Amino acid sequence: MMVITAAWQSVKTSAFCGLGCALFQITARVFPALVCLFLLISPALAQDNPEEELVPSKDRPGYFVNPQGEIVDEFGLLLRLFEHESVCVRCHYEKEKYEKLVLDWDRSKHSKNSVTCDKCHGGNPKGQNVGEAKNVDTTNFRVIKTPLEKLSHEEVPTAAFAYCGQCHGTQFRDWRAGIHGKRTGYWNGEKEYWICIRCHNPHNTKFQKIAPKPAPMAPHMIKFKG
Amino acid sequence: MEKKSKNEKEINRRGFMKTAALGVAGLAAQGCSGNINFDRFFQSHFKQMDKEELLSTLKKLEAEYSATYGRQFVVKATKPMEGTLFGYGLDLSRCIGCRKCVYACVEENNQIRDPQIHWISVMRNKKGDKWIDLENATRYYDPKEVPEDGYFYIPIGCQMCEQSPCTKVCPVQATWKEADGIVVVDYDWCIGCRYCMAACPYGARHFNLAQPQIPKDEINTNTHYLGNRPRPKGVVEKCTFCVQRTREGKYPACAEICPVGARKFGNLLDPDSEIRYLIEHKRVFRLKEDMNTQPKFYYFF
Repeated sequence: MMVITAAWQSVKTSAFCGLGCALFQITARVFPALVCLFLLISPALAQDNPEEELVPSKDRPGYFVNPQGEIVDEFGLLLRLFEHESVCVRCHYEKEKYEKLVLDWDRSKHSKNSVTCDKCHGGNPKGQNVGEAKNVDTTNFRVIKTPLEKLSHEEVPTAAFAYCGQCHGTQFRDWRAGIHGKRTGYWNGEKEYWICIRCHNPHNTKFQKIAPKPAPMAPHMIKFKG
Repeated sequence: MEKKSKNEKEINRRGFMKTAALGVAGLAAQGCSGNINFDRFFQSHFKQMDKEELLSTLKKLEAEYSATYGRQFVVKATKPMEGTLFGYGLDLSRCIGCRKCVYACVEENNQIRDPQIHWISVMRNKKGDKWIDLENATRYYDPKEVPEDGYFYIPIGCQMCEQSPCTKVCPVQATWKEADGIVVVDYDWCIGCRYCMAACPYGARHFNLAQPQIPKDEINTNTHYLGNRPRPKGVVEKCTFCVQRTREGKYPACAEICPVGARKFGNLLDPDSEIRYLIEHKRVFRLKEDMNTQPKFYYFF
Protein backbone atom coordinates (compact mmCIF):
# COMPACT_ATOMS: atom_id res chain seq x y z
CA MET A 1 0.00 0.00 0.00
CA MET A 2 2.89 2.31 0.79
CA VAL A 3 4.28 1.87 -2.67
CA ILE A 4 0.95 2.62 -4.28
CA THR A 5 0.43 5.77 -2.22
CA ALA A 6 3.94 6.92 -3.09
CA ALA A 7 3.22 6.27 -6.74
CA TRP A 8 -0.05 8.12 -6.56
CA GLN A 9 1.74 11.04 -4.88
CA SER A 10 4.21 11.17 -7.69
CA VAL A 11 1.37 11.23 -10.22
CA LYS A 12 -0.35 14.01 -8.33
CA THR A 13 2.77 16.10 -8.08
CA SER A 14 3.64 15.60 -11.70
CA ALA A 15 0.18 16.68 -12.74
CA PHE A 16 0.30 19.57 -10.32
CA CYS A 17 3.64 20.86 -11.43
CA GLY A 18 2.33 20.85 -14.97
CA LEU A 19 5.67 20.01 -16.51
CA GLY A 20 3.96 19.15 -19.72
CA CYS A 21 6.55 16.58 -20.60
CA ALA A 22 4.71 13.82 -22.45
CA LEU A 23 7.29 11.18 -21.64
CA PHE A 24 7.08 11.89 -17.96
CA GLN A 25 3.33 11.79 -18.00
CA ILE A 26 3.34 8.37 -19.64
CA THR A 27 5.80 7.04 -17.07
CA ALA A 28 3.68 8.45 -14.33
CA ARG A 29 0.60 6.70 -15.65
CA VAL A 30 2.28 3.41 -16.32
CA PHE A 31 4.27 3.19 -13.09
CA PRO A 32 1.34 2.65 -10.67
CA ALA A 33 -0.07 0.07 -13.01
CA LEU A 34 3.24 -1.77 -13.04
CA VAL A 35 3.40 -1.69 -9.28
CA CYS A 36 -0.08 -3.17 -9.02
CA LEU A 37 0.83 -5.87 -11.51
CA PHE A 38 3.95 -6.77 -9.52
CA LEU A 39 1.96 -6.94 -6.32
CA LEU A 40 -0.44 -9.33 -7.99
CA ILE A 41 2.24 -11.52 -9.51
CA SER A 42 4.60 -11.70 -6.54
CA PRO A 43 2.71 -14.38 -4.57
CA ALA A 44 2.64 -16.52 -7.70
CA LEU A 45 6.38 -16.04 -8.12
CA ALA A 46 6.95 -16.94 -4.52
CA GLN A 47 5.03 -20.19 -5.06
CA ASP A 48 7.25 -21.10 -7.96
CA ASN A 49 10.28 -21.55 -5.73
CA PRO A 50 9.39 -24.90 -4.13
CA GLU A 51 9.12 -26.37 -7.61
CA GLU A 52 12.88 -26.86 -7.61
CA GLU A 53 12.63 -29.10 -4.59
CA LEU A 54 10.13 -31.44 -6.23
CA VAL A 55 11.39 -34.95 -6.74
CA PRO A 56 9.84 -37.08 -9.49
CA SER A 57 7.63 -39.72 -7.98
CA LYS A 58 8.87 -43.26 -8.35
CA ASP A 59 5.48 -44.93 -8.08
CA ARG A 60 3.45 -42.53 -10.18
CA PRO A 61 5.05 -41.41 -13.42
CA GLY A 62 4.38 -37.79 -14.33
CA TYR A 63 3.94 -36.74 -10.71
CA PHE A 64 6.27 -35.33 -8.08
CA VAL A 65 6.87 -35.58 -4.36
CA ASN A 66 7.23 -32.35 -2.38
CA PRO A 67 9.38 -31.92 0.77
CA GLN A 68 6.39 -32.84 2.90
CA GLY A 69 6.23 -36.22 1.14
CA GLU A 70 2.95 -35.44 -0.59
CA ILE A 71 2.29 -36.31 -4.18
CA VAL A 72 1.90 -33.17 -6.32
CA ASP A 73 1.72 -32.28 -9.99
CA GLU A 74 4.35 -30.33 -11.90
CA PHE A 75 3.13 -27.00 -10.49
CA GLY A 76 3.60 -28.12 -6.92
CA LEU A 77 -0.13 -28.39 -6.38
CA LEU A 78 -1.65 -31.19 -4.41
CA LEU A 79 -3.67 -33.76 -6.25
CA ARG A 80 -7.28 -32.78 -6.50
CA LEU A 81 -8.10 -36.12 -5.04
CA PHE A 82 -6.86 -34.93 -1.66
CA GLU A 83 -8.55 -31.58 -2.04
CA HIS A 84 -11.85 -33.37 -2.17
CA GLU A 85 -10.82 -35.47 0.81
CA SER A 86 -12.62 -38.35 -0.69
CA VAL A 87 -13.09 -41.11 1.77
CA CYS A 88 -12.77 -43.81 -0.89
CA VAL A 89 -9.11 -43.04 -1.41
CA ARG A 90 -8.17 -43.76 2.13
CA CYS A 91 -8.87 -47.43 1.53
CA HIS A 92 -8.65 -47.78 -2.25
CA TYR A 93 -5.83 -45.49 -3.31
CA GLU A 94 -3.00 -47.75 -2.38
CA LYS A 95 -4.32 -50.61 -4.40
CA GLU A 96 -2.51 -50.97 -7.68
CA LYS A 97 -5.69 -51.70 -9.57
CA TYR A 98 -7.10 -48.28 -8.77
CA GLU A 99 -3.90 -46.37 -9.10
CA LYS A 100 -4.01 -45.81 -12.81
CA LEU A 101 -7.70 -45.00 -12.87
CA VAL A 102 -7.42 -42.56 -10.03
CA LEU A 103 -4.44 -40.78 -11.58
CA ASP A 104 -6.18 -40.57 -14.95
CA TRP A 105 -9.22 -39.18 -13.27
CA ASP A 106 -7.16 -36.62 -11.45
CA ARG A 107 -5.96 -35.15 -14.75
CA SER A 108 -9.41 -35.24 -16.31
CA LYS A 109 -12.10 -32.64 -16.66
CA HIS A 110 -14.25 -34.69 -14.35
CA SER A 111 -12.00 -33.99 -11.40
CA LYS A 112 -11.92 -30.26 -12.22
CA ASN A 113 -15.71 -30.22 -12.08
CA SER A 114 -15.89 -32.22 -8.84
CA VAL A 115 -17.26 -35.36 -10.39
CA THR A 116 -15.77 -37.53 -7.67
CA CYS A 117 -15.73 -41.32 -7.35
CA ASP A 118 -19.02 -41.48 -5.52
CA LYS A 119 -20.91 -39.75 -8.31
CA CYS A 120 -20.52 -42.80 -10.53
CA HIS A 121 -19.51 -45.64 -8.26
CA GLY A 122 -21.79 -44.79 -5.38
CA GLY A 123 -20.82 -44.35 -1.77
CA ASN A 124 -20.85 -41.41 0.57
CA PRO A 125 -17.66 -39.31 0.63
CA LYS A 126 -18.68 -37.60 3.85
CA GLY A 127 -18.89 -40.84 5.78
CA GLN A 128 -16.41 -41.20 8.57
CA ASN A 129 -16.24 -44.98 8.72
CA VAL A 130 -16.77 -47.85 6.35
CA GLY A 131 -20.42 -48.21 7.25
CA GLU A 132 -21.21 -44.56 6.58
CA ALA A 133 -19.08 -44.45 3.45
CA LYS A 134 -20.95 -47.31 1.87
CA ASN A 135 -24.31 -45.86 2.78
CA VAL A 136 -25.61 -44.17 -0.36
CA ASP A 137 -27.91 -41.17 -0.30
CA THR A 138 -29.76 -41.04 -3.60
CA THR A 139 -32.33 -38.41 -2.78
CA ASN A 140 -30.76 -35.61 -4.81
CA PHE A 141 -28.73 -37.37 -7.40
CA ARG A 142 -28.96 -40.64 -9.22
CA VAL A 143 -25.94 -42.81 -8.66
CA ILE A 144 -25.00 -46.26 -9.73
CA LYS A 145 -25.39 -48.15 -6.53
CA THR A 146 -23.32 -51.14 -7.48
CA PRO A 147 -19.95 -50.58 -9.14
CA LEU A 148 -20.11 -50.80 -12.95
CA GLU A 149 -17.79 -53.76 -13.06
CA LYS A 150 -20.21 -55.79 -10.94
CA LEU A 151 -23.22 -55.11 -13.17
CA SER A 152 -24.24 -57.53 -15.89
CA HIS A 153 -23.80 -56.62 -19.54
CA GLU A 154 -27.47 -55.76 -19.93
CA GLU A 155 -27.49 -53.46 -16.93
CA VAL A 156 -24.39 -51.44 -17.79
CA PRO A 157 -25.85 -49.38 -20.67
CA THR A 158 -28.95 -48.28 -18.79
CA ALA A 159 -27.03 -47.47 -15.67
CA ALA A 160 -24.32 -45.63 -17.56
CA PHE A 161 -26.79 -43.59 -19.60
CA ALA A 162 -29.10 -42.78 -16.80
CA TYR A 163 -26.00 -41.52 -15.16
CA CYS A 164 -24.02 -39.67 -17.86
CA GLY A 165 -27.17 -38.08 -19.24
CA GLN A 166 -27.75 -36.21 -16.01
CA CYS A 167 -24.93 -33.81 -16.80
CA HIS A 168 -24.38 -34.35 -20.50
CA GLY A 169 -27.96 -33.68 -21.52
CA THR A 170 -27.38 -32.45 -25.07
CA GLN A 171 -25.13 -35.36 -25.89
CA PHE A 172 -27.60 -37.76 -24.36
CA ARG A 173 -30.43 -36.32 -26.45
CA ASP A 174 -28.37 -36.53 -29.63
CA TRP A 175 -27.24 -40.03 -28.78
CA ARG A 176 -30.80 -41.21 -28.41
CA ALA A 177 -31.60 -39.73 -31.82
CA GLY A 178 -28.55 -41.49 -33.27
CA ILE A 179 -26.56 -38.36 -34.07
CA HIS A 180 -24.01 -38.48 -31.31
CA GLY A 181 -21.87 -41.58 -31.16
CA LYS A 182 -21.82 -44.56 -33.38
CA ARG A 183 -24.32 -47.12 -34.55
CA THR A 184 -23.49 -50.24 -36.49
CA GLY A 185 -25.58 -52.94 -38.09
CA TYR A 186 -28.64 -52.15 -40.18
CA TRP A 187 -29.86 -48.66 -41.04
CA ASN A 188 -33.42 -49.92 -41.34
CA GLY A 189 -33.34 -52.70 -38.81
CA GLU A 190 -31.43 -54.09 -35.92
CA LYS A 191 -28.55 -51.86 -34.99
CA GLU A 192 -26.01 -51.80 -32.27
CA TYR A 193 -25.93 -48.62 -30.22
CA TRP A 194 -22.49 -47.81 -28.98
CA ILE A 195 -22.76 -46.79 -25.35
CA CYS A 196 -20.88 -43.83 -23.82
CA ILE A 197 -18.11 -45.78 -22.16
CA ARG A 198 -17.31 -47.70 -25.33
CA CYS A 199 -15.76 -44.52 -26.75
CA HIS A 200 -15.34 -42.24 -23.74
CA ASN A 201 -13.19 -43.20 -20.81
CA PRO A 202 -14.87 -41.63 -17.80
CA HIS A 203 -11.60 -41.68 -15.87
CA ASN A 204 -9.65 -40.04 -18.68
CA THR A 205 -12.10 -37.86 -20.57
CA LYS A 206 -9.69 -36.44 -23.12
CA PHE A 207 -9.51 -38.39 -26.37
CA GLN A 208 -6.13 -39.79 -27.23
CA LYS A 209 -4.66 -38.88 -30.60
CA ILE A 210 -4.21 -41.73 -33.05
CA ALA A 211 -1.89 -42.40 -35.96
CA PRO A 212 -3.53 -41.78 -39.34
CA LYS A 213 -3.52 -44.30 -42.17
CA PRO A 214 -1.00 -43.61 -44.95
CA ALA A 215 -1.56 -40.60 -47.19
CA PRO A 216 -2.76 -41.22 -50.73
CA MET A 217 -0.15 -41.49 -53.44
CA ALA A 218 0.72 -38.15 -55.02
CA PRO A 219 0.03 -38.01 -58.78
CA HIS A 220 3.70 -37.95 -59.70
CA MET A 221 4.25 -41.19 -57.79
CA ILE A 222 1.69 -43.11 -59.82
CA LYS A 223 3.25 -45.33 -62.45
CA PHE A 224 1.56 -47.00 -65.37
CA LYS A 225 1.90 -50.72 -65.57
CA GLY A 226 -0.22 -51.08 -68.73
CA MET B 1 -7.29 -70.08 -118.93
CA GLU B 2 -10.47 -68.16 -118.49
CA LYS B 3 -11.85 -70.76 -116.10
CA LYS B 4 -8.71 -70.77 -114.10
CA SER B 5 -8.62 -67.04 -113.85
CA LYS B 6 -12.28 -67.01 -112.75
CA ASN B 7 -11.43 -69.59 -110.10
CA GLU B 8 -8.52 -67.53 -109.00
CA LYS B 9 -10.73 -64.48 -108.75
CA GLU B 10 -13.30 -66.34 -106.66
CA ILE B 11 -10.69 -67.78 -104.39
CA ASN B 12 -9.14 -64.40 -104.06
CA ARG B 13 -12.39 -62.75 -103.09
CA ARG B 14 -13.23 -65.50 -100.63
CA GLY B 15 -9.76 -65.46 -99.28
CA PHE B 16 -9.90 -61.73 -98.88
CA MET B 17 -13.15 -61.92 -96.89
CA LYS B 18 -11.67 -64.64 -94.72
CA THR B 19 -8.54 -62.75 -93.89
CA ALA B 20 -10.50 -59.57 -93.36
CA ALA B 21 -12.84 -61.30 -90.90
CA LEU B 22 -9.92 -62.87 -89.10
CA GLY B 23 -8.13 -59.56 -89.01
CA VAL B 24 -11.13 -57.77 -87.50
CA ALA B 25 -11.52 -60.53 -84.95
CA GLY B 26 -7.85 -60.31 -84.15
CA LEU B 27 -8.04 -56.55 -83.74
CA ALA B 28 -11.09 -56.90 -81.51
CA ALA B 29 -9.24 -59.45 -79.44
CA GLN B 30 -6.24 -57.17 -79.14
CA GLY B 31 -8.50 -54.30 -78.22
CA CYS B 32 -9.71 -56.30 -75.23
CA SER B 33 -6.09 -56.47 -74.05
CA GLY B 34 -5.75 -60.09 -75.02
CA ASN B 35 -8.81 -61.06 -73.03
CA ILE B 36 -11.33 -62.15 -75.67
CA ASN B 37 -14.78 -61.84 -74.15
CA PHE B 38 -17.46 -61.72 -76.81
CA ASP B 39 -20.28 -62.23 -74.32
CA ARG B 40 -19.20 -59.15 -72.45
CA PHE B 41 -18.72 -57.28 -75.71
CA PHE B 42 -22.26 -57.93 -76.92
CA GLN B 43 -23.84 -57.57 -73.47
CA SER B 44 -26.80 -55.16 -73.25
CA HIS B 45 -27.05 -52.05 -71.17
CA PHE B 46 -27.93 -52.92 -67.56
CA LYS B 47 -31.26 -51.12 -67.68
CA GLN B 48 -32.26 -52.87 -70.92
CA MET B 49 -31.50 -56.40 -69.75
CA ASP B 50 -34.48 -58.65 -69.19
CA LYS B 51 -34.53 -61.05 -66.27
CA GLU B 52 -33.01 -63.97 -68.11
CA GLU B 53 -30.22 -62.00 -69.64
CA LEU B 54 -29.44 -60.37 -66.31
CA LEU B 55 -29.28 -63.74 -64.56
CA SER B 56 -27.06 -65.25 -67.21
CA THR B 57 -24.82 -62.18 -67.16
CA LEU B 58 -24.46 -62.34 -63.40
CA LYS B 59 -23.63 -66.05 -63.60
CA LYS B 60 -21.03 -65.43 -66.28
CA LEU B 61 -19.47 -62.67 -64.20
CA GLU B 62 -19.44 -64.88 -61.12
CA ALA B 63 -17.73 -67.65 -63.04
CA GLU B 64 -15.21 -65.27 -64.53
CA TYR B 65 -14.29 -63.64 -61.22
CA SER B 66 -14.18 -66.97 -59.41
CA ALA B 67 -11.77 -68.28 -62.04
CA THR B 68 -9.58 -65.19 -61.89
CA TYR B 69 -9.36 -64.86 -58.11
CA GLY B 70 -9.78 -68.50 -57.10
CA ARG B 71 -12.61 -67.73 -54.67
CA GLN B 72 -16.37 -68.13 -54.86
CA PHE B 73 -17.95 -64.84 -55.91
CA VAL B 74 -21.48 -63.54 -55.49
CA VAL B 75 -22.55 -60.89 -57.99
CA LYS B 76 -25.90 -59.42 -57.10
CA ALA B 77 -28.16 -56.97 -58.85
CA THR B 78 -30.35 -56.03 -55.90
CA LYS B 79 -33.00 -53.55 -56.95
CA PRO B 80 -33.62 -50.34 -54.98
CA MET B 81 -35.97 -50.70 -52.02
CA GLU B 82 -39.26 -48.95 -52.41
CA GLY B 83 -39.66 -45.70 -50.52
CA THR B 84 -35.96 -45.13 -49.97
CA LEU B 85 -33.82 -42.15 -50.85
CA PHE B 86 -30.42 -42.44 -49.30
CA GLY B 87 -28.78 -39.54 -47.56
CA TYR B 88 -25.48 -39.24 -45.78
CA GLY B 89 -24.47 -37.06 -42.86
CA LEU B 90 -20.97 -36.25 -41.72
CA ASP B 91 -20.14 -34.55 -38.44
CA LEU B 92 -17.24 -32.20 -39.15
CA SER B 93 -16.71 -31.39 -35.49
CA ARG B 94 -15.98 -35.06 -34.79
CA CYS B 95 -13.90 -36.09 -37.81
CA ILE B 96 -10.26 -36.51 -36.79
CA GLY B 97 -8.87 -37.21 -40.26
CA CYS B 98 -7.58 -40.71 -39.48
CA ARG B 99 -8.39 -42.01 -43.01
CA LYS B 100 -9.81 -45.26 -41.64
CA CYS B 101 -12.86 -44.76 -43.86
CA VAL B 102 -10.65 -44.43 -46.93
CA TYR B 103 -9.05 -47.82 -46.45
CA ALA B 104 -12.22 -49.55 -45.28
CA CYS B 105 -13.76 -48.35 -48.54
CA VAL B 106 -10.86 -49.73 -50.58
CA GLU B 107 -11.21 -53.14 -48.95
CA GLU B 108 -14.98 -53.24 -49.23
CA ASN B 109 -15.21 -51.99 -52.79
CA ASN B 110 -12.25 -53.78 -54.40
CA GLN B 111 -10.50 -50.66 -55.62
CA ILE B 112 -7.30 -51.05 -57.55
CA ARG B 113 -4.26 -50.86 -55.25
CA ASP B 114 -1.71 -49.86 -57.86
CA PRO B 115 -2.13 -47.29 -59.38
CA GLN B 116 -4.04 -46.41 -56.30
CA ILE B 117 -7.69 -45.32 -56.32
CA HIS B 118 -9.36 -43.89 -53.23
CA TRP B 119 -13.05 -43.06 -53.46
CA ILE B 120 -12.85 -40.89 -50.35
CA SER B 121 -10.41 -38.01 -50.11
CA VAL B 122 -9.97 -36.56 -46.65
CA MET B 123 -9.12 -32.89 -47.07
CA ARG B 124 -7.27 -31.04 -44.35
CA ASN B 125 -8.40 -27.43 -43.89
CA LYS B 126 -6.87 -24.70 -41.80
CA LYS B 127 -9.13 -23.49 -39.03
CA GLY B 128 -10.15 -19.89 -39.02
CA ASP B 129 -8.81 -18.65 -42.37
CA LYS B 130 -11.86 -19.12 -44.49
CA TRP B 131 -14.95 -21.21 -44.16
CA ILE B 132 -14.10 -24.17 -46.36
CA ASP B 133 -11.24 -23.44 -48.67
CA LEU B 134 -10.92 -26.53 -50.82
CA GLU B 135 -8.35 -24.94 -53.08
CA ASN B 136 -5.86 -24.58 -50.25
CA ALA B 137 -6.83 -27.82 -48.54
CA THR B 138 -4.61 -30.86 -48.90
CA ARG B 139 -5.29 -34.56 -49.00
CA TYR B 140 -1.62 -35.53 -48.67
CA TYR B 141 -1.18 -34.51 -45.04
CA ASP B 142 0.88 -37.02 -43.14
CA PRO B 143 1.44 -36.20 -39.46
CA LYS B 144 2.38 -38.72 -36.81
CA GLU B 145 -0.85 -38.23 -34.94
CA VAL B 146 -4.26 -36.84 -35.75
CA PRO B 147 -6.15 -34.62 -35.13
CA GLU B 148 -3.59 -31.86 -35.57
CA ASP B 149 -4.05 -28.58 -33.75
CA GLY B 150 -5.44 -25.80 -35.89
CA TYR B 151 -6.88 -28.00 -38.62
CA PHE B 152 -10.15 -29.66 -39.42
CA TYR B 153 -10.87 -32.44 -41.88
CA ILE B 154 -13.51 -32.92 -44.56
CA PRO B 155 -13.85 -36.35 -46.12
CA ILE B 156 -15.21 -35.99 -49.63
CA GLY B 157 -16.68 -38.79 -51.69
CA CYS B 158 -19.52 -38.90 -54.17
CA GLN B 159 -22.16 -36.40 -53.07
CA MET B 160 -24.98 -38.30 -54.83
CA CYS B 161 -26.39 -35.19 -56.46
CA GLU B 162 -30.03 -35.02 -57.37
CA GLN B 163 -29.05 -32.88 -60.37
CA SER B 164 -25.93 -34.86 -61.15
CA PRO B 165 -23.75 -33.21 -63.80
CA CYS B 166 -21.83 -36.45 -64.38
CA THR B 167 -24.85 -38.40 -65.62
CA LYS B 168 -25.90 -35.59 -67.94
CA VAL B 169 -22.64 -35.53 -69.88
CA CYS B 170 -22.24 -39.27 -70.40
CA PRO B 171 -22.44 -39.82 -74.17
CA VAL B 172 -23.49 -43.48 -73.85
CA GLN B 173 -25.68 -43.26 -70.74
CA ALA B 174 -23.44 -45.64 -68.88
CA THR B 175 -24.05 -43.75 -65.65
CA TRP B 176 -27.38 -42.80 -64.13
CA LYS B 177 -29.19 -42.07 -60.89
CA GLU B 178 -31.10 -45.00 -59.42
CA ALA B 179 -34.51 -44.72 -57.78
CA ASP B 180 -32.98 -44.69 -54.30
CA GLY B 181 -30.75 -41.78 -55.24
CA ILE B 182 -27.50 -43.66 -55.79
CA VAL B 183 -25.54 -42.62 -58.86
CA VAL B 184 -24.17 -45.78 -60.45
CA VAL B 185 -22.01 -46.81 -63.39
CA ASP B 186 -22.44 -49.80 -65.70
CA TYR B 187 -18.78 -50.70 -65.99
CA ASP B 188 -19.38 -52.86 -69.03
CA TRP B 189 -21.13 -50.05 -70.87
CA CYS B 190 -18.65 -47.31 -69.96
CA ILE B 191 -16.38 -46.34 -72.84
CA GLY B 192 -13.86 -44.56 -70.65
CA CYS B 193 -14.20 -41.11 -72.20
CA ARG B 194 -13.95 -39.47 -68.76
CA TYR B 195 -16.42 -36.72 -69.55
CA CYS B 196 -18.10 -37.41 -66.21
CA MET B 197 -14.82 -36.92 -64.37
CA ALA B 198 -14.53 -33.49 -65.96
CA ALA B 199 -18.13 -32.67 -65.13
CA CYS B 200 -18.02 -33.70 -61.46
CA PRO B 201 -17.37 -30.65 -59.27
CA TYR B 202 -16.28 -32.82 -56.33
CA GLY B 203 -13.58 -34.96 -57.92
CA ALA B 204 -15.51 -38.03 -56.88
CA ARG B 205 -15.01 -40.09 -60.03
CA HIS B 206 -11.90 -42.13 -60.69
CA PHE B 207 -10.44 -43.86 -63.69
CA ASN B 208 -8.93 -47.34 -63.84
CA LEU B 209 -5.61 -46.73 -65.52
CA ALA B 210 -4.56 -50.38 -65.34
CA GLN B 211 -6.09 -53.82 -65.15
CA PRO B 212 -7.02 -54.02 -61.46
CA GLN B 213 -4.98 -56.62 -59.63
CA ILE B 214 -6.32 -57.10 -56.17
CA PRO B 215 -4.60 -59.50 -53.77
CA LYS B 216 -6.62 -62.73 -53.56
CA ASP B 217 -6.91 -62.70 -49.80
CA GLU B 218 -8.03 -59.08 -49.70
CA ILE B 219 -10.78 -59.24 -52.30
CA ASN B 220 -14.37 -58.83 -51.21
CA THR B 221 -16.39 -61.60 -52.83
CA ASN B 222 -19.78 -60.19 -51.90
CA THR B 223 -20.36 -57.89 -54.85
CA HIS B 224 -23.01 -55.95 -56.73
CA TYR B 225 -23.18 -55.52 -60.49
CA LEU B 226 -23.35 -51.73 -60.17
CA GLY B 227 -21.12 -51.56 -57.13
CA ASN B 228 -17.96 -53.26 -56.04
CA ARG B 229 -17.46 -56.06 -58.57
CA PRO B 230 -13.93 -56.05 -59.99
CA ARG B 231 -13.76 -53.43 -62.70
CA PRO B 232 -12.06 -53.81 -66.05
CA LYS B 233 -9.30 -51.50 -67.18
CA GLY B 234 -10.28 -48.19 -68.71
CA VAL B 235 -13.60 -47.50 -66.98
CA VAL B 236 -14.72 -44.86 -64.53
CA GLU B 237 -15.77 -45.84 -61.03
CA LYS B 238 -17.15 -44.03 -58.01
CA CYS B 239 -18.65 -44.32 -54.54
CA THR B 240 -22.01 -46.10 -54.56
CA PHE B 241 -22.87 -45.70 -50.85
CA CYS B 242 -21.80 -49.38 -50.72
CA VAL B 243 -24.80 -50.40 -52.82
CA GLN B 244 -24.15 -54.08 -52.05
CA ARG B 245 -24.59 -53.35 -48.33
CA THR B 246 -27.10 -50.52 -48.13
CA ARG B 247 -29.70 -52.16 -50.36
CA GLU B 248 -29.71 -55.03 -47.86
CA GLY B 249 -30.19 -52.62 -44.99
CA LYS B 250 -26.62 -52.49 -43.73
CA TYR B 251 -24.64 -49.34 -43.05
CA PRO B 252 -21.91 -48.44 -45.55
CA ALA B 253 -18.42 -49.68 -44.74
CA CYS B 254 -17.11 -46.17 -44.00
CA ALA B 255 -19.84 -45.55 -41.43
CA GLU B 256 -19.10 -48.88 -39.78
CA ILE B 257 -15.39 -48.21 -39.40
CA CYS B 258 -15.46 -44.55 -38.30
CA PRO B 259 -13.83 -44.53 -34.85
CA VAL B 260 -15.54 -41.33 -33.74
CA GLY B 261 -19.00 -42.03 -35.12
CA ALA B 262 -18.95 -38.99 -37.38
CA ARG B 263 -20.66 -40.74 -40.28
CA LYS B 264 -24.45 -41.02 -40.37
CA PHE B 265 -26.50 -42.80 -42.98
CA GLY B 266 -30.20 -43.21 -43.49
CA ASN B 267 -33.35 -42.89 -45.51
CA LEU B 268 -34.31 -39.31 -46.31
CA LEU B 269 -37.94 -40.31 -46.83
CA ASP B 270 -38.26 -41.76 -43.34
CA PRO B 271 -39.13 -38.92 -40.93
CA ASP B 272 -37.75 -40.87 -37.94
CA SER B 273 -34.37 -41.60 -39.47
CA GLU B 274 -31.06 -40.30 -38.12
CA ILE B 275 -30.40 -38.33 -41.27
CA ARG B 276 -33.71 -36.50 -41.06
CA TYR B 277 -33.10 -35.69 -37.41
CA LEU B 278 -29.72 -34.16 -38.11
CA ILE B 279 -31.00 -32.11 -41.04
CA GLU B 280 -33.78 -30.75 -38.86
CA HIS B 281 -31.77 -30.15 -35.68
CA LYS B 282 -28.18 -29.48 -36.65
CA ARG B 283 -26.32 -26.84 -38.62
CA VAL B 284 -26.17 -28.46 -42.02
CA PHE B 285 -24.51 -27.47 -45.26
CA ARG B 286 -23.71 -29.12 -48.55
CA LEU B 287 -20.60 -28.71 -50.65
CA LYS B 288 -20.71 -26.25 -53.55
CA GLU B 289 -24.41 -25.58 -53.24
CA ASP B 290 -24.06 -22.74 -55.71
CA MET B 291 -23.58 -25.30 -58.46
CA ASN B 292 -27.18 -26.40 -57.96
CA THR B 293 -26.15 -30.02 -57.96
CA GLN B 294 -28.36 -30.64 -54.92
CA PRO B 295 -26.20 -33.19 -53.17
CA LYS B 296 -27.61 -35.71 -50.72
CA PHE B 297 -24.44 -35.60 -48.65
CA TYR B 298 -24.94 -33.34 -45.65
CA TYR B 299 -22.08 -31.99 -43.60
CA PHE B 300 -23.05 -30.86 -40.13
CA PHE B 301 -21.38 -29.59 -37.01
